[in-house]
Amino acid sequence: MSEVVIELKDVGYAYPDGFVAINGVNLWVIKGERLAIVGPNGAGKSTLLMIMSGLFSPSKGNVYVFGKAATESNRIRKSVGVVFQDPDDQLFCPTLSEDVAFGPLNFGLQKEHVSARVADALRVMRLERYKDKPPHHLSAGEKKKAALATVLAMQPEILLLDEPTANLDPRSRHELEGILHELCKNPNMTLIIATHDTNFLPGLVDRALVLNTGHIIAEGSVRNVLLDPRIMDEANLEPPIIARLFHLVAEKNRELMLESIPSTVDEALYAIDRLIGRVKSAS
Amino acid sequence: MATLRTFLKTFEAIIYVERYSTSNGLLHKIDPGVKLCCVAGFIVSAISVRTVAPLILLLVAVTALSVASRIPLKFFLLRSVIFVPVFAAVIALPLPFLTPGAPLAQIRYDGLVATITAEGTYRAAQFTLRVLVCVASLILLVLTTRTSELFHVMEGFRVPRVFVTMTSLTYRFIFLFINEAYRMALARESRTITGMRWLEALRSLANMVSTLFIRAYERGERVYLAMNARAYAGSFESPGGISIAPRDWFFAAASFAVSLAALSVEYLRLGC
Repeated sequence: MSEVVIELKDVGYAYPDGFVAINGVNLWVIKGERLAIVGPNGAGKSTLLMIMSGLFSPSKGNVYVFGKAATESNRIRKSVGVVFQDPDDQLFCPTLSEDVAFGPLNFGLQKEHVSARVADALRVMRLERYKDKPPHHLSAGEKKKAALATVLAMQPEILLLDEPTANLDPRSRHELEGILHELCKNPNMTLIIATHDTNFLPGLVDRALVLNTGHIIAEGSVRNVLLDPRIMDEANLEPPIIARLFHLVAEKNRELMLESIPSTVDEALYAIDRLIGRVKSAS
Repeated sequence: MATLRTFLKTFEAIIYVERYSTSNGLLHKIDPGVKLCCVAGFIVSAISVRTVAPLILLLVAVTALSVASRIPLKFFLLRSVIFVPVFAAVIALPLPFLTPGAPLAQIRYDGLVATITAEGTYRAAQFTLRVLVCVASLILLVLTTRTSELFHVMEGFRVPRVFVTMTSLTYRFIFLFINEAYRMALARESRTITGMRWLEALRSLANMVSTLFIRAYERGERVYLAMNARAYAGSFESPGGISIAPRDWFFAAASFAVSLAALSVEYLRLGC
């Protein structure tokens, strides 16, 4: 039976000014799952991640991480890594290597183990040459990768990413997508991504839930949720651009009878190949 | 507003000290802790002497070290001189007029007479030179040492951790806030058609500063959350250790000799 690593029961969260960011959220995440939390700005995605990581205590309801109530315990810190939306919030040490070492040092690891973890994290993120650089000298893409490195050095079992593609140029974004796909090869790594950018999610996540004004309004597979224009429209979001294009093509050319709407480049390529083949055989 | 932008960029350029700290000059190879002790030695010598000659000796030594550390001479002297008026002007400027002694010149204005004395001028020069030596020594230290190393040295010398953490975080985020203030000034300027009156400009500046404070506060909250997410327990653990090589001892001995020479020039002369 699959192990539930995070469970939220009727969770609500109100900020000190009274604004209710999350209300009545029930959710579970199983080990090794890749989950996307999508929603427009202000939907409560970041707040939900903070609650899942135990950094915010819910105003109501219960949160369990690995079956235990989520409090500020070291178990959660060691198991749950959070990559914040703005990497400048996360990079606060004078040099990048110190920033990456910050978490492992706080766990009380031996210095040689810390050095090994720092070297590993920087290698995975391809940031070795920046190790002695102050974080404010890095580009936006490098900062994002550096923020991810600071969390990977903690070797978390659950990785929470808040808007990972925000403010990235196309090349950095592509590189980050590649890194996330690499991370997903580890079957024990649970990945939760909060974003309003749906383009990179198909092929990366298994399940998606849509959050709007603090409530979950839809939940299911990527195909059932992210490719459903009605759900996306209700949440002020847009389906992945490839799916939108094929929706339009299918609507205008009903005779094409597309088997399914592609959502990734590979699926689109396959669909186009099939269409070309049909056109050729018809002529 | 353009003046504000210029000020912000100038301020950023002045406090940005990393340009030369990664070079490969003489002082870059010296252990930061040893360097700090030597610089402290220069400063103690400078504030212990009362004549100009030993101060000139110290200034020459500090300047020679900067050249040996591949810091452009013009850049080093300019940077040192920029800070001198900030620390010395208030005290040095009145000295020629207030110190009793042999008159050098008189300034008359509207019936008032101010006399510049030789002793006062000498004391002003000596005070300014003393400040220059101290400032130049510190700038030499900062320009040849990575800021991260300086923070480690502070920790090593048992400076309270809360002070080191605050200084480190201030240095990390000051550039971010300068850039934020710069963008705000630019955005305001883009919406200003005619020039602002003095009071309007002041009000606009006040609004900007208050917004910046709020943003800094919010940033602080988020940074603290990010620190907590990585098991922050109230102190920054340092990953490195201190290793002192023979060349560090040699440098320390040479610096000590220079400081001693400066003191000898002073006290042997006074003793004569």
